[in-house]
Amino acid sequence: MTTNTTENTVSTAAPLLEVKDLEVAFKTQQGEVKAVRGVDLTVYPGQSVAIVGESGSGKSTTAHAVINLLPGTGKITGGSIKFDGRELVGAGAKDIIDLRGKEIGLVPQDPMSNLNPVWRIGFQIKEALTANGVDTKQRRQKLTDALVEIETTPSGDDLYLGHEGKKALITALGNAGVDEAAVAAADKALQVGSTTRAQAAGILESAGLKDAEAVAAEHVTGASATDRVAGLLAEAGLGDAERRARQYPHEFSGGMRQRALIAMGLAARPKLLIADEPTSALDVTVQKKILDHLEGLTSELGTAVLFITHDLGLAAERAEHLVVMYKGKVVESGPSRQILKAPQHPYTQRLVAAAPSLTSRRIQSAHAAGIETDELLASHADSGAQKRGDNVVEVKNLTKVFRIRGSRPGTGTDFTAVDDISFGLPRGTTLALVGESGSGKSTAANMVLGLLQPTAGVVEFDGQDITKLRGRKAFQFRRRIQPVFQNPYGSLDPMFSIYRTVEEPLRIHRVGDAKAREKRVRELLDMVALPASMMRRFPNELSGGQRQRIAIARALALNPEVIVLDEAVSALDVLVQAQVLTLLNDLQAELGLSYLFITHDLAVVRQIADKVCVMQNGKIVEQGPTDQIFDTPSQDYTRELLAAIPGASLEIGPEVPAV
Amino acid sequence: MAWYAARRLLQMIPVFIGATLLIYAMVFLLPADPIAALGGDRGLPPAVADQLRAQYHLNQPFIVQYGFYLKGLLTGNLGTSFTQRPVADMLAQAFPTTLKLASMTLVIEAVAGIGVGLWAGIRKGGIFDATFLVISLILIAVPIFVIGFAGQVLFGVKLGWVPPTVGANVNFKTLLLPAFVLATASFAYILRLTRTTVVENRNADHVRTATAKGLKPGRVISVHVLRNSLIPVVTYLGTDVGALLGGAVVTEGIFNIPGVGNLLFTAIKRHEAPTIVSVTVFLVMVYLISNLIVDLLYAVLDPRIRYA
Repeated sequence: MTTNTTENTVSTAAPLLEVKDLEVAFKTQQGEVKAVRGVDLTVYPGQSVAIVGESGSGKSTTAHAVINLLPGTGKITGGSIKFDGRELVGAGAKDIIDLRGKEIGLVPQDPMSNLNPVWRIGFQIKEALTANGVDTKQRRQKLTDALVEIETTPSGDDLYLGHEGKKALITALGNAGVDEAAVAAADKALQVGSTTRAQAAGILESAGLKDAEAVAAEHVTGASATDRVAGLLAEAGLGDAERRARQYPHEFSGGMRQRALIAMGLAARPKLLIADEPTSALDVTVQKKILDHLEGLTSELGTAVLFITHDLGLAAERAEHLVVMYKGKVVESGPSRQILKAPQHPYTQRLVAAAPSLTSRRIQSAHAAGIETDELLASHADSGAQKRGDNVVEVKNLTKVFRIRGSRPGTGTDFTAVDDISFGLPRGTTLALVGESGSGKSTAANMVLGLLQPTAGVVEFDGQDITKLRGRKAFQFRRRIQPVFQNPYGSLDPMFSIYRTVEEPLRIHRVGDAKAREKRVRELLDMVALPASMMRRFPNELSGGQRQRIAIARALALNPEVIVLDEAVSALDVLVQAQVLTLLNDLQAELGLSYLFITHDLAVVRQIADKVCVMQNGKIVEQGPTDQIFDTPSQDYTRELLAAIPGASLEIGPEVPAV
Repeated sequence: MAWYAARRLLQMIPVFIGATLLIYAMVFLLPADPIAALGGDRGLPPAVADQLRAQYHLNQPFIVQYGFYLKGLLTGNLGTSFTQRPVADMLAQAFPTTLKLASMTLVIEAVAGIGVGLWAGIRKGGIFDATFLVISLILIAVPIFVIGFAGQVLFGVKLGWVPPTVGANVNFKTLLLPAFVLATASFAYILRLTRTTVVENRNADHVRTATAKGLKPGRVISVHVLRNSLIPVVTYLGTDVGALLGGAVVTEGIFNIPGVGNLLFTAIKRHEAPTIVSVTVFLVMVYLISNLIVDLLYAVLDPRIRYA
């Protein structure tokens, strides 16, 4: 985090990016729709600014307008964008192309779709070097020469170490009789394409070489574009960079792809980096590592960063300055801490009150101060009558092994998705199954739902082993446990009206006649706080939050005892998420439901769960009451997960700002 | 990949047996007596007819005939036609012609279809796009014999640019018009397919990222849009290669080209069971092999494909 002093110094300098009264409109069949309506935004050199807002607030559109990446139907209809004193609105196509990559870099949102699947990673990064004229050392030299004049760097000190140069340096170390451990350490520290001559001299010296500077000057003579690509990947935190550069995107995990995209965005050392939700698609621990790395890298290079994010906690933690957008307008902007402490605009106030990462942080500081936290929690409705102390679902030694087909006959391997897990879900409470992608939590949920046959172990529902149920008994069992899935856009049949969607389970289970069923559907819609007039509409007419309410109504139709919520609020905006969590809590108190809550988001868990099971690689590494897990975690992995919740480093008190 | 290719080749065995049996049975069940037809209006002397029936095992039950046929195939004998010419010889004469015609057609439809489709996709909604969408619709709607005859009359007879028919004179110039005619329908499909995938890929996230890197528009199109867009087009071309090598009965008929299509058509007219079955089986194998080759080439275009 940058201190206040830098904040003060940058504000006196000339702004790097100055957006004034920006208006962007999209052409649609209903006519022009204004997505951005008069946005003002200033980024100073080296400063980090975050635009925070929910989906549809115009935050990404604003960022894309800066580098003219609006889709075909979008157009800047007013205002001005000044970058380094130059006006970009109405600038020629060539000027914008020159600017992209070289002066303004972009780290896009979804690492899965933002790399071209048919080209090697290295090729795609090298393209960024070539396009911006920094691919060969001669072309780079011009740039560094210009820098040398301004800064007081001795000439040649910023040449990069090449492939051949590294070999020569290691040989030189060996010849000088340096011991093996030191050579190995130097081998690790010297990064082809990233280590400069000055750094190399330092590394050689600490390895114990006498004439380190002369040796470095002899062998560090600049890197080829391929070497530089490896260097960039290494700088972005990717190990074994030279080999990785030769791989294709599908051979990379999400986090590795995001690192490659960061390497790409920073390849030509831009002055401003636009990071558009750079880690939203990643697991929290990976998210933290990448953001930490990005922060270190940009502060070292002096790059200004414009974050685009929906997560207020993350924004406040990573940026000095916040710009809160709502419906295309900036509703509030100012230093991060000030906005968190005293939000002025009602929307910001609601956002600050609802953000799970902040609430989680508040609970933590409340506990530290010894304050009761019930008003901060969405859950813990003590419906004492319901708590008979028995477990409605009891999972014992559950295991699921998948067979993965090999490339040739007989080379298939077994993959254990869920490895010998046991837990109990007490009646009328919420149990959270927490883990990162691939931890086996959804596989476990599918087995509890009876949708997947376990390889070993039992799932007992009310004392009955459901893995052995067949035919009519299995059918009857399904009434008692119902799912709500993550993506409300995919889990509702677009061809079914809302009425048909909610009524379908009743019809399948032959509950009542048509009239009784209609009455029940009205009742259910009322329960999830939707008007009965919604019945005749179709999913595409509904917002994400409304759809998720429909999914909950459908799950409730058969009066189940247990609802499995598989990432049920993860796809929703913060405020909608808070509403749905409150709804779930009210329903639990009213109907005595038990929830099995599957999520990767620990901040949400803190608000809703009574008990937590932390899963890693198919195993439960730790389980216990929520407060115990959060306050005194016993496993390193749990601690790592907790530390990764955005906003963990923020200093905020337990009090919720007045709304 | 070797395992994949081996498995695909093994899969051809049941296909081969199934295809021969099915075709043989269909020809066997045709309600006509080829030997009687051979004699024309006067009819053959009974002794000669009997001798011919014995030679072709026509007096044996179906399964025995099929057995004899399979045995012949396995020893490299594709059988002889009723006019005493070995089927293998006839294929050896007709197939190169079809191969020439097919490769010319393929080049024309691929180059024109991808080129026009790419341009139409980039300028989506423009005049060029609209014009070619209409043209492609017409080409798909009009039957190939209409296009064939129209082309023959216009370019062959009226304008005299190319010879109206091919006959024994098979070369690049004579095959040019038939190749264009044969390419029309696939050209229209390839155009539409390319256009759709180009439009789709132009809006892909990774293309926006490529633009944000500072690449020039031309490079974004050629490196990041075109190659990705070609993947579904190559799939279509793959099936088309098989179809083209199978001979184009109608087009070969119109332009009197002595290719495989013509050979098969003549054999069917004459009820020559050995010729029909052998030629068809040959075509089935050509189809399977060309598809396998295209599937293997696919990996060159798309590195995500793993052969397992």
